[in-house]
Amino acid sequence: MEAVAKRRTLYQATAEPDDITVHRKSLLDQKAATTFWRKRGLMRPPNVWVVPKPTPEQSLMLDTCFRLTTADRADLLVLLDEKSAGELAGWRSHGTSFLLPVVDMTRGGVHSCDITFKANDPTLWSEVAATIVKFATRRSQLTQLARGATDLEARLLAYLYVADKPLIPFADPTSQLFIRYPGFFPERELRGVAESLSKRGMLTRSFVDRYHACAACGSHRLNVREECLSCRSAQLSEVALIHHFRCAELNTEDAFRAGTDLRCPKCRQQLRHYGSDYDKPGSVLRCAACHSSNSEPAVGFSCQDCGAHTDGEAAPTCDIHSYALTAQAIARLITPDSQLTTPRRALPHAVEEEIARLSDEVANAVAVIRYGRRERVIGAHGEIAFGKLRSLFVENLRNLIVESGRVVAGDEADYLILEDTEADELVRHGACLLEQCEAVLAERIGPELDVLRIDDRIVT
Amino acid sequence: MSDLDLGLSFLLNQSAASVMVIFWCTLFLEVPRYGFPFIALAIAGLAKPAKPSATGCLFQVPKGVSVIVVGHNEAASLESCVRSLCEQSFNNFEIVIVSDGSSDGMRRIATRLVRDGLAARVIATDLRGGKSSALNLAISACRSDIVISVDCDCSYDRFAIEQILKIFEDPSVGGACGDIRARNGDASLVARFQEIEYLLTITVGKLIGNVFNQVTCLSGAFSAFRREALAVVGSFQVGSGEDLDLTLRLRASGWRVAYVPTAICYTDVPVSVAALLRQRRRWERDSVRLRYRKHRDLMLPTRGRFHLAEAVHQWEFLLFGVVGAIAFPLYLTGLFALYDDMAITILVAIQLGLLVVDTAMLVLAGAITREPVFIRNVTYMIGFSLFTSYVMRFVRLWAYFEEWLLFASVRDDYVPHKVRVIRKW
Repeated sequence: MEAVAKRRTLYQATAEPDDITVHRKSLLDQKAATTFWRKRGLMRPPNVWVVPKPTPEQSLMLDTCFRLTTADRADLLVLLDEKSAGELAGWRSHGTSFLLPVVDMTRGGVHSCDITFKANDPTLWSEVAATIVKFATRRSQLTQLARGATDLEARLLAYLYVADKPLIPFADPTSQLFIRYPGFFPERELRGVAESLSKRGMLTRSFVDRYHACAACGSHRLNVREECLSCRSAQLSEVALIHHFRCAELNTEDAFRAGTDLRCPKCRQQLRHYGSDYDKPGSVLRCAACHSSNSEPAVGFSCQDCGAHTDGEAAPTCDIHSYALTAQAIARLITPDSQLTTPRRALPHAVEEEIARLSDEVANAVAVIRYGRRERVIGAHGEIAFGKLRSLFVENLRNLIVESGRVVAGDEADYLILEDTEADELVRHGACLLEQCEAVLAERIGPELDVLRIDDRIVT
Repeated sequence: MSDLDLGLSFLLNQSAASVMVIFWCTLFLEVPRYGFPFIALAIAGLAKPAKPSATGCLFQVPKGVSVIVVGHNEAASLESCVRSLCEQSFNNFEIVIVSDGSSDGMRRIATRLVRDGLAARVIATDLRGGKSSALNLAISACRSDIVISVDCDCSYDRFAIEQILKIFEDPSVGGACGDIRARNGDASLVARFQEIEYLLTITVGKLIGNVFNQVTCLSGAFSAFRREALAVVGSFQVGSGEDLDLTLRLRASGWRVAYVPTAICYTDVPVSVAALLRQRRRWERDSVRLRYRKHRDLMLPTRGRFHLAEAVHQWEFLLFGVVGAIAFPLYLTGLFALYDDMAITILVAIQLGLLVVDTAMLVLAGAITREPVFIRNVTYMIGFSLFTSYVMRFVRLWAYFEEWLLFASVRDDYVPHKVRVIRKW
């Protein structure tokens, strides 16, 4: 009871009377709504800011349940139309509205919203009230730094704390990625930011699904189809094979077909008796475009956004994860004077550990290996082929420097750590080293060495 | 006086007529056969074929080349075969794999090879139809001008395909085969004997046959065909021995059939005596069936298909192969009946003579291949000579008897029953 009373006080402290109502109100209805909200723990109807701008009819309905106000004074954001989700995301990208719950009042339903509301459903009244209280309570627990966060990383962390739920993607055919994360954050940037936070220990991640992406535009909206191995046409049809025993002719049924007769294309004899004259030992896929036959089709992807075609083997894949706050992140979010995010490292954790493991007295040269022909090789042969070439290259490098250093494999780049070696020495001989390791590969992958100075290793 | 002295004295004191009586089988059925290569060498002034290498500038292949790999339950060997093909110096060809009703995962492996880009396509049937029909399916699935047929259990010298394609610059060539060498000669004594046999009968024998247009079998292990020639003769026909059958039909249709010694294919030969005997009985049965039943009109002057070049190899095989095998037990019986204890001495003398000739052939094989095959095999020559004379000759006789009198090839499970029972020949 004491906690509820405290929450009410907090809410009362933040809720201001609205003075810019644009529609006439029914005093009776307003009084009823106020009573409903009070029953659910709120002192007055919530202030809401509506996206898109409501019609007079919508305003009349909304004004009955809520108090319409501006974004900076709202307790809730209301989304009336699915098409305006982008507009809402734009509003939430600045100011403090990203910490407010979003109420879904669209027809189709939008998964990005925190809660749904229908005036005739008393359960939803209760849920909206509880959500408002929860958001307000948790918002108040955040440090000043977190509440006023401006960069996407900090805003995401603060939102996840206030919403008190993990960042779980949901299927959304309107998105180019086929999935969308809740919270109305910028779609393209969010995944990268979440991955970065995950690597720095602020978020934990769990695998959700793997998508194939268009090699040209990155879209996940692909048409997966069986294709001809020769010409990549999807115009395949399954045709039976016929084996004429007497002359060993084995061909497709259409080669034997002469009206209703079956006539051997080689010896012109009519086939009449199945099992005695001939049999059907299987079937093949016949391409109507190039007329080639094959038992196994190729798998190809056709992008529904840009129209590009990608071979099944060459299509890059994209792993989708859900994310949740770690204890470390929560502590930083609610402990006053703590820095919100850890410094961004130039080197991955595994590399840092490896460097730390080596003796301090020994001079270590550290270099990042990037692959200049990466995109070209992936485009021509696929990501798997590039991965194999890269692994072979790293293995060659490991064998070459086995006595004097380590190679640590990373995501975008690999890392070379040489003991008892000055950075300048590595700069002088690095190219030769890489060339030697690349020479045996079936295809060049263009390794480039970027030798790091001590000061480069940590970038805040 | 020792037995050796007695034997030598006996042989040296024979008149010319007596020598003819004692050694008739060797003089009439062995010496001409062995002597022929050396006479041919003298006539043709046979040049040593160089060790295979890149030809530098390959002829223009009009519409490309297809390599067809056909097999039944060849999952274990398919990948190494295809990878060997991909290592060729000339690799502008498509590989078409046909799995003939395999149940051992060959289709899955073939599909993976296609996905990895090592083969162009795979066609798999659910029911086995036999090698001929599978080859015909593969041929119909490719549209290249030159079709190269290879066996799954073979691997190839790096220049094999480049070398075999060169011969097709001659528009009269309808088909060509490469040299077949035993890859597993070290596996057993029997395998070593076969390594020697392949050197003598293919490396040397076919090279000489090629000079006189007497290459009569394009081996199924590694042969190339002009598509036009295949269309003329109707590709492969039903039954085992399909390679011999097709070669005889190509020759009868007027196409030149060639042997390319520098196109080398390596194959595993049977390592056990039982497996070897099974294989050779099948080969010999097929030879008899195809040569003297299906294509007997090639050797008879009264028939329309008669042609002197075809009659030569048909009669040669009949005389030295079939008659030689039949005559040998009669000869042995007569020898022991007439000469009693001296028969052994006579047989030793004959064997020594044959050993000398075999060894000379091995020297020739070494000169042709430019590889140390003589040093490698010379210690096995006595065993090889005895094995050939006293085992393989009787195996041939057994096979001829089975086929001529019992029509054993009808029961041969090399092709499925549904095809065997309907086969015309």
